[in-house]
Amino acid sequence: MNPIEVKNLKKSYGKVEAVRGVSFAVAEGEIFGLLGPNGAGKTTTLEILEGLKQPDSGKIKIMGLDIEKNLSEIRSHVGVVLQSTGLLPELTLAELFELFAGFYENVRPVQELAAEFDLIEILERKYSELSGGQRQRFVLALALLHNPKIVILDEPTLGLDPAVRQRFWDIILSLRGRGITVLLTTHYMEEAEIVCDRVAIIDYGKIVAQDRPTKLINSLGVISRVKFMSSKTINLSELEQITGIVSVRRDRYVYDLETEAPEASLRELLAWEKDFAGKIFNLQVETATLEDVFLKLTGHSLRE
Amino acid sequence: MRLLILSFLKIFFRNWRAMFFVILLPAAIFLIAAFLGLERVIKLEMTAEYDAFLLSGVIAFAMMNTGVYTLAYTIIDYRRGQILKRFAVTPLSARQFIIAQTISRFIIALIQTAVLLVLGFWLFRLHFSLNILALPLIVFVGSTIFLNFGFLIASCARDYEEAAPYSSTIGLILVFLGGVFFPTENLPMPLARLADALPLKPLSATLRHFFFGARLPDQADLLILLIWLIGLSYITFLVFSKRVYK
Repeated sequence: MNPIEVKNLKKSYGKVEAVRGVSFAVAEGEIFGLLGPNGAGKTTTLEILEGLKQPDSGKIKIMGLDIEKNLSEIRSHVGVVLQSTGLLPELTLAELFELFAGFYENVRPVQELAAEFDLIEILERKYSELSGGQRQRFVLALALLHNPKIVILDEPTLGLDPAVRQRFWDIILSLRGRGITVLLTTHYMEEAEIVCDRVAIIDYGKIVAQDRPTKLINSLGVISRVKFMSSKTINLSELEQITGIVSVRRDRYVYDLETEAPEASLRELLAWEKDFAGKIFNLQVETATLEDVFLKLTGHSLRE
Repeated sequence: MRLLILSFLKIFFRNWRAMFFVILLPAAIFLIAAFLGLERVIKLEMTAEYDAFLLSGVIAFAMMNTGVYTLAYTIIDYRRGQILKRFAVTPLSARQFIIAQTISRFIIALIQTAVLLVLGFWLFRLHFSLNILALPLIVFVGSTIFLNFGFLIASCARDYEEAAPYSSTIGLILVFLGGVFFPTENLPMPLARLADALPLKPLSATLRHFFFGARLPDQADLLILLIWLIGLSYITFLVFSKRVYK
């Protein structure tokens, strides 16, 4: 039994079809990402899973329970980080922890949680006084207060600066060892690649592909580039022998190799260099990313 | 839920502006209206009688303000600031949220009423014949009715701009026909009957009874208050839980 199972989910707002038949399942302990541009239907999908919106059709099981009949039980097992979280502005973090602890039966000690998320020193501050990174740490800690088995995060790093974002990724990755199932949405492809075990690419309310990020990148035959310069002219046919190489070009001193298997090609290239009379330098690898996968699948970029 | 009630109270007592409007403003309105000598305008002979009339009116008026204005705007803030949404994804139900708000605002209304009563006793030497146990009950009924108005306004209006006409229209009608500053008996017949059916007049009349030595309030007034209480609470629960608390 998968903790999250979604089958053929549909939701329209008037004439706009926000979600057009989305299906996916998230395994226990897995970090699963919905990757897509703004307006792709990610937030609507999550809000249906959180019980905030009613779907037009489709089946949702969370921990084997039907979302319509067992919503309050489901809510006691699910922790949520909303896209933008509002909290009673006059209360301190300690008071908010205490308040939310009252909604659940089995909660973690606040001191322990605060220590884990580096919040001890700001417990007496108000939510509105925190920086973006502090807010996101607090909001995640609040979502984990009741030992949830599932955590749902909607664009958790939106608007954070890169260093803070990376720190947040570390925290999410640390959930992996604890058997917590994570479902998140993002429109940052690095985030999906680094954090997620599996990714579903969603566009205009439909999932166009889902798999492990590396598999998605490789399976679509998306090309990576290896570029370097050489002190001596290389015979291009020699380079074409290397595993994974699709095409080879030379532009004066710069060699431009297209490869389907960047790691393998690179290893072979470096091994070949040992017997080569000249020297190669300025070696660069441009790997394909989920961005390229997205572009190839949908014909438009993630940022549009 | 006890913690939620405590939190709402904490929020209230940390907000000096809210305290000013809820506690001091009604007192100021009462004092100003009492010293203006409005009784001459409406031809009430005895000054002491008018002070008692006014005091019970202002107590009811203050409860109305808390619901129709303060609560409506607070809930709009909670809704727009995604605060309600964060509560909605916890096991806390819409019903529990409404009850917690109602109880915390009831406690505030008790304080508000107590301040006005003390002022009346002390400055105007009014007598209050009410059974002390009946007072909280009446305050609860009155405060809850007007809080429901607030919940409903916030359910229909998305922002302050939309809420303002709702609040002021409802507020104006209720005050005009509420027997706050002048008795509604002098109004033309259809308006006087309408005043009897709206909640503010029965509430101020019920409170007023006890300033004039009555032991029991008017049963027709009580009945109308109960109908408003039950009917509005039911509608509020339906609308708020379906449309707003998510």
